Amino acid sequence: MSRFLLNLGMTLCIATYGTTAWAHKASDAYVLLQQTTPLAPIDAQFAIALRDLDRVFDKLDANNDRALSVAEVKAVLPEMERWASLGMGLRCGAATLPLTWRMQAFEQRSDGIYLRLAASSAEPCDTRQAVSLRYTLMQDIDADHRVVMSWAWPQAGASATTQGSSAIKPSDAWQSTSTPASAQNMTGAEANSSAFATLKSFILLGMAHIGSGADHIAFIICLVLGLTLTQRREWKALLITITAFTLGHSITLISATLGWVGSPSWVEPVIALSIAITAAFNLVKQRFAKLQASIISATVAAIFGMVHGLGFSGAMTEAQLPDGALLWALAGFNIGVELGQLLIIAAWSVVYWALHRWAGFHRWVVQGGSVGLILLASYWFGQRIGWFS
Amino acid sequence: MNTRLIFFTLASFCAIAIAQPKDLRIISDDAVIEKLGPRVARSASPVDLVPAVRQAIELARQTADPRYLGQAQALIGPLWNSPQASYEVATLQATIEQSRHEFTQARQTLQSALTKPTASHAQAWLTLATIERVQGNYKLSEIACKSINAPEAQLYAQACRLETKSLQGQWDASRKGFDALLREQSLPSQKAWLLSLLGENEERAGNTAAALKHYAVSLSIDNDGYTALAYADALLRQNQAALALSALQNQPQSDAVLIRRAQAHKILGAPQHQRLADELNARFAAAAQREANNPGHAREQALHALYVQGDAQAALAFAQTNLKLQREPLDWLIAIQSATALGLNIEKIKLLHAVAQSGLKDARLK
Repeated sequence: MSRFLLNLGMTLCIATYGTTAWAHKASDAYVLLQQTTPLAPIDAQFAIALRDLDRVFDKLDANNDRALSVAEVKAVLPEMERWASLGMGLRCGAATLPLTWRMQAFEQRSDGIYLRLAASSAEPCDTRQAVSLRYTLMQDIDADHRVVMSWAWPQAGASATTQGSSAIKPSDAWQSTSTPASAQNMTGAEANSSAFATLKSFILLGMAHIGSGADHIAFIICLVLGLTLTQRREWKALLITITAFTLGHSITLISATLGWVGSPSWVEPVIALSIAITAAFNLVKQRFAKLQASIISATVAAIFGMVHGLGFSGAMTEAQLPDGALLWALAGFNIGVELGQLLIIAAWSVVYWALHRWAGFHRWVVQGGSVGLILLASYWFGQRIGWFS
Repeated sequence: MNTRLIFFTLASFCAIAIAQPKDLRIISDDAVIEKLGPRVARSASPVDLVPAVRQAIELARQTADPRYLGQAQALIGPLWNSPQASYEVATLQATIEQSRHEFTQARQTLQSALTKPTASHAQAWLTLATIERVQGNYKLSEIACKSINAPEAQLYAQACRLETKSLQGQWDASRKGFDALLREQSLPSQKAWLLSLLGENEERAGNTAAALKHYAVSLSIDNDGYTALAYADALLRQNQAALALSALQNQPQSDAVLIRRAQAHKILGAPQHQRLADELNARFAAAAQREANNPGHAREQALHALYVQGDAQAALAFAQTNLKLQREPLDWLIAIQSATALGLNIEKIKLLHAVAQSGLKDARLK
């Protein structure tokens, strides 16, 4: 009773179904259609769970002890046999074959005891034409009820049989046995282990890694925000900065993958801090000509790249065993990271070309953007060290 | 009375664990051949509908018998997927869909429920938050948790937020929060529930001993099936198979429970292991006749393949299918352990990367 329905004046379901697995399966009945020889009458069997019959026939559990004895079932048997006859129809071609159901046995299935009824079509059937079943039982009682219809027809002059099976939702429609059972498409995880496939999939993974992390994108924007892209010198600086970042990123990533360094808990807040510092650097570097030297930008980018590399390496840390494809995976991942960064820079370049002639560009885009990034990064920092929790 | 019971025991003993149906040999008309679950009240009028559906859903949870869910849907009848359905009915529909792991449909149903007039949408937000959490969408879950604003639902709103935070690695803050909620609660069932959430927090934080303690106390207050499974899993990871068996003693025979029992017997080297494995195979075979490759069973099939059958290849395939549907720590764990067992390091790196991308933090996932 605990967590699922709790009374609070109103009723709240603290549902944990995502985790709780379902027992036995939902309600199924089984219909088996067979023939001893071609052109003979059809022998039909119908098995239905006693627990389902209990839901249809209120009086089945006559003494209401929530257990069924053989005697209790037998007492309601005539009614149940009539119920089955009314709820099921069998056709051979266009001709309806009347069925009279009689109890045959109780059988044990994986989810309980079933009552099995049997019937034989009085008339012969040529099963080369369509045989169809109409099954309407249990519809108003259980929306998940299905009937699993199986059939086996002997073939004239051959020892082989034609057989099949399909699960049918109860309805007024006639379901033909010749309807091909739906093809089962197996969705197994195919292991494509060639080096090229590994490289390709990890390039994509590296790009996705850059693209899906807001902090990564913010950091790249920080690196390029203060650069004047109309000057060739600045482009060179940009490429050096980005490559330095990738190098730093690769060093820690590879080290962690090989088990040389761990992934300490300070990494996430420090990543946020690095964004704030880089953005602040954009604000002050105009005043200090020395700081414009690309070697300094590159060093800063490399150091922060190392921290960012650690941020991901947590995921790689434990998978350190030697493996032929590991090299390709790491190479692919780093190439993907670099490509992802270049894509972000390409996007920034478009914005830059569109706006850089505007008089307010430096004030509003470069300085305003840097201030915005400092605020955003400070918020991340606070969040990651648990200020807001 | 005694002979009846003996017969019942014998019948189930002989016939259990078989893929093909086996006929019962009837000795006497007095023999009890089936035990029945509680009845669902018939709803005579639309006024009775909501309590009847709620009762059926609750019985499904207690007995682990999905027949009650089909019955609940049949009770809703023409109001299923209907714009005429009230907020309560739509929310109950979503709960049924959620429990069948039909998360996409459940999400749609909840979105429509949230547009319907009612005093409080707390239940719909809460169910939505659970679905988003189960699928690893922690930001969306947080939004749903924060949208629960009914004063009487504040305990659930807070627990919802704490659990979502805990999944994202804020273990210390969550521990403090759960402790505070526990101090305020006097209702045993709520205490038990909060303790199980605290236990999960500790497991993710890597504090196994504390987690085991919280689960045990929680179960001593309220023998909840969900907590029992979490406790058994934690014990099995410590190879404490005998304790795991006793933790599951009074639980209904769901596939999930049977898998843990089989796993425990396997660890103990007990012969029941094979009988349970056979029974599970029969169950999965029966489920496949109804619907082949139902992704809703993939978690249990992965657990069965890995821990009971020792077939990591099959386990990884099932675990990958399952991850498209469910992304709780356990779901990642089965996949990662299967990949590790197969020596597929690339696969393992990809999985760990996907864990990191989802924002989930769990000391067990490495």
